[in-house]
Amino acid sequence: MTGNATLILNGEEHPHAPGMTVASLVASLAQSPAGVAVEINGAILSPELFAQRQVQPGDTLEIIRFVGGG
Amino acid sequence: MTENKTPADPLVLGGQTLGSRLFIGTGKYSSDALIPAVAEASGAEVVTLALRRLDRSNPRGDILTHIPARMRLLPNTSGARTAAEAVRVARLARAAGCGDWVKIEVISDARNLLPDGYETAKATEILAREGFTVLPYVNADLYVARSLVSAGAAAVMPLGSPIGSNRGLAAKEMIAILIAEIPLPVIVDAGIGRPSQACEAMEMGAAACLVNTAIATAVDPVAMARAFGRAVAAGREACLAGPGRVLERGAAPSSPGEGALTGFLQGES
Repeated sequence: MTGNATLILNGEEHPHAPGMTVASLVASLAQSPAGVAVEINGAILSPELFAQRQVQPGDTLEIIRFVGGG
Repeated sequence: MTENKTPADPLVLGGQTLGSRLFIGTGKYSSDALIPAVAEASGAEVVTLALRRLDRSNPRGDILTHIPARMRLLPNTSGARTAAEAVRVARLARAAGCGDWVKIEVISDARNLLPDGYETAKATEILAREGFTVLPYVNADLYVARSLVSAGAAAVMPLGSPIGSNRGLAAKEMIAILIAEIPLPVIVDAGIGRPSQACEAMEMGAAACLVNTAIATAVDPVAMARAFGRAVAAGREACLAGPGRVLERGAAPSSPGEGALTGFLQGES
């Protein structure tokens, strides 16, 4: 850990940026938030809250989406 | 499939009326761009998906853009090893905005990829109580299937043979027992490798078949999807028609015994 400036994203350390929201983090990873689900510190976050939910240093996030499967 | 017309022989699952009894998967395609044509050719109305961590380095893009809007999404819980993990994946799938159907898949044996019936039943009970339409993938085991009925499953999905194997209806006799004993739709999932095997499952009284690998790994997936759609429909029609009797021994002529020009068939009836 480099001070408090990181979070855990999908099991790996990820840099934290000031003012970061779940929506901005998702936008940096996916072309569209459609079909994306987020778990933050073990709790599912409803998509309508992505924009207002601030991401704090030290938060643990899982960001998942659909892929092909049987 | 015409959306506003009631099918002649619908399958009703989770309050939805389905005209096609073929469900298709979306894994293993050489290109996901094949999926719309496969979906169209198959006539399927239900399509399975998996959930994975979002990975910026994944070049495949968004699978949802390849799935026709008319189709009902059936996310699976692949990757789950316990009931708790399956419940977590199912809740995330619902949060991703793709409805409340879920295929429970709990596997902890990486070699044989056989589903864990006990963990599957536990997950089914929790998710059915939360309002999910739960379609559990299990071994063709009567007691597991009964526990799924009690747990509130919408159907039971026994494997024909090990997942991805294309080895067909290895569990045929056990599947026949489930069809006879379980008061839920029995959907054969996994292992079906050829349209003839899907047809046979439907003739036996299966409510539907779920096919992924056999279509995705065919030389021409679109043509194979069409063949599977026809085979499932033919098998269903044969089941409803009632197959004729089987002689235990000997033979019986299909043509009349009387009036033959030669004496060959005289005395036969």
